[in-house]
Amino acid sequence: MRSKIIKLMVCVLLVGTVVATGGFSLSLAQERITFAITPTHIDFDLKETSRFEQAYPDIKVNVVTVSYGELFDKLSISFSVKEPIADVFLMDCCWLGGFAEPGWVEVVDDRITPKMREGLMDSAKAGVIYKGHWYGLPYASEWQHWIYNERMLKEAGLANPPSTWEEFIEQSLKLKEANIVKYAWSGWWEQTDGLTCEYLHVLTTMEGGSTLFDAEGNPLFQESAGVEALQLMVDMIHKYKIVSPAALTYGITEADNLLLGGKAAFRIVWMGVPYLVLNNPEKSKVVGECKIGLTPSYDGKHPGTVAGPMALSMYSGSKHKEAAWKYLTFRCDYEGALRAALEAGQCPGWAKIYEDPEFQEKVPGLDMMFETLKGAVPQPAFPWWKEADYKLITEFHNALTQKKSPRQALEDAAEKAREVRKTWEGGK
Amino acid sequence: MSKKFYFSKRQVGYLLVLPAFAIISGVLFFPLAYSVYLALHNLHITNPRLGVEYVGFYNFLYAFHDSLFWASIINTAYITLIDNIAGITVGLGIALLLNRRFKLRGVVRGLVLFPYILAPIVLSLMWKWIYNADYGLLNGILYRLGLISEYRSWLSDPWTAMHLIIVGNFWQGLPFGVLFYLAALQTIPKNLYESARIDGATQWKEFLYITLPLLMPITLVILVLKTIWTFKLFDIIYIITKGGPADATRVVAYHLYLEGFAFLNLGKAAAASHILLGIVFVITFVYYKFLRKSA
Repeated sequence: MRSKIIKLMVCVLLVGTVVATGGFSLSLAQERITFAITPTHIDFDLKETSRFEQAYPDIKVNVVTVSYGELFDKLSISFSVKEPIADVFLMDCCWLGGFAEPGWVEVVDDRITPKMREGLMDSAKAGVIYKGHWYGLPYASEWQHWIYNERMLKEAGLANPPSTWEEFIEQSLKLKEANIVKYAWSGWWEQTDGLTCEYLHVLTTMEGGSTLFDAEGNPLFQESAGVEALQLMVDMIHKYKIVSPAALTYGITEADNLLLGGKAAFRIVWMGVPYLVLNNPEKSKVVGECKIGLTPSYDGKHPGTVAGPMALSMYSGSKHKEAAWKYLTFRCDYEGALRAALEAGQCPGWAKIYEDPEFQEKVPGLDMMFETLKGAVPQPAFPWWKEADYKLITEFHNALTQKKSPRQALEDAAEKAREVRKTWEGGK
Repeated sequence: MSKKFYFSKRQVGYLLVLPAFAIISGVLFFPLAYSVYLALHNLHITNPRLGVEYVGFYNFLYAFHDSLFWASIINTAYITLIDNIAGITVGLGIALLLNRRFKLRGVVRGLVLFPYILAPIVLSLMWKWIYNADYGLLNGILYRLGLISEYRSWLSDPWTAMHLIIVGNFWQGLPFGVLFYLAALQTIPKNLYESARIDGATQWKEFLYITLPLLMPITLVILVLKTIWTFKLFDIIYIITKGGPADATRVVAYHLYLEGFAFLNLGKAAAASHILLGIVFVITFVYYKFLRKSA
């Protein structure tokens, strides 16, 4: 009996080994690449990956999701030790310098066709081009939009959205008095890079406000326009009480959900094509109520915004560059970008797509989206930006919690940013 | 004639511990030595044109002058102090209660261990939702009890954010103290209490002159371990506040994470971690001297 059991176990072991080895052999015949992405559009990313694998049966794509806040850290650590977590990955414009300088991301100049070069939108360039070289293809070439809830404004007796910051404050106070909302603006102001983007957005609307740094990396935000922008944000919380103190703890999802849940009247969003989210009953309780507007400015004539184009890029040490490039082009060429726009609401980086009749028919609000794009400024892409950004964010919080005055906070931030840059350049 | 080779008892002992020692060397001594190497160099990971640079004690001096590092040490020390005091007093109190006989004592003992069983990240997410400004349980309870007139954003204020982190961390670590004290209480001979009662001692005097002194050794162990663990506090900070608002809850482990893994300043992070090692060693030494004397 005992010997029979042993023989049976050996047979099962042998069969199992053959099956497993057979499966392994089959998978060996396929080339495998890994794609790292945030989970924002994971359903669409998985669908596209499946389509790609059907089109290219000899390539298997392993999709890895990492939340945005952790993706830069995971990628940079893995690249620095040459144990990459991905062959193809999402690249935000503000990361490009930090990945390009150490040589972690593949230069793809030779792979870019003349059609690609001509067709790239100006606002998408910062996501793929660094110091004249291409480092990927445009994936989600989005910019911030100022959103207001038209229904709430009408309920408060307001005919038009605000064009100046004074009007914005007045309207927010009216909305508060009328008990329509407690806090008019929903801000993504937790101690992460989202706060920098919202601050930069406000900065672009101030007199003399442009961007955070000049081309050489010298800080500009500590000048008067920058101080006014931060002072306005501080006053929104503490003086006018039109932004909740809880905004200092809100991530992007919490802040968006307040708008989508009808608990805020104004918000700066990163939603790609905003109406596809705002008017989606599965995600929004304010269907048909919200509109894209022009951000208020100091004189009503200088609305601004922040461009945040993202690309898909390849790791320079990937052992599967051809397969990775095939996946990249499948996802980001004209057809891929059109699918992403129509099915996932992502902003394409190719200008021609915006003229596509199907795109124009299915994507609402294009006119206003382009109107807001006119005042767009790019985010910094210096290789030392990640660390400098953290110093800025801490000082923003020092001002927003009233530990320091806005002027002092920004001067300290400027000093720290200079130190970070100097250290990166080899100084002590 | 073949010569037999005999191992002595000592040699056999060394051979038997050799595999374990090799593993420990690999996971402990080598990383320690490499971290010393890192602390003495600047790898310039994000600017490889500069190459690996030997900087001597520059990274240590940088850490000594880094106000953020010392602020994170002070934050961590404050959390540790409160956590230790609360953890020991409340932990001992609960252990004394659980040491008595009552119905369903076994069930209650199991429930007390519950926070210790869950993964720290799960607990941190739970506390994040409890403290949520718009939907949190804390606001809900306080509002219904009439203690607040409107929901508050507790995590937006540096002071309340810090103390709510302490509450969350205390709750997670409480079972550890309870468990150790409960085990120690079982080892105290019953005849000591009987003798004390015969001599007319009250319960309070029994606690003061028998229980407490005999629990000193275990108190030392709890203090040392809780100090070391609290100095490694990371999950709850990363999930709930990310060191904010305005770095009010920036603890040393999070600071080292940012320096080493977010900014890739591995040399500075390594040097700071060695300074931290020294600080924890000094604290542990002080505990040992003080409590050993008391015992």
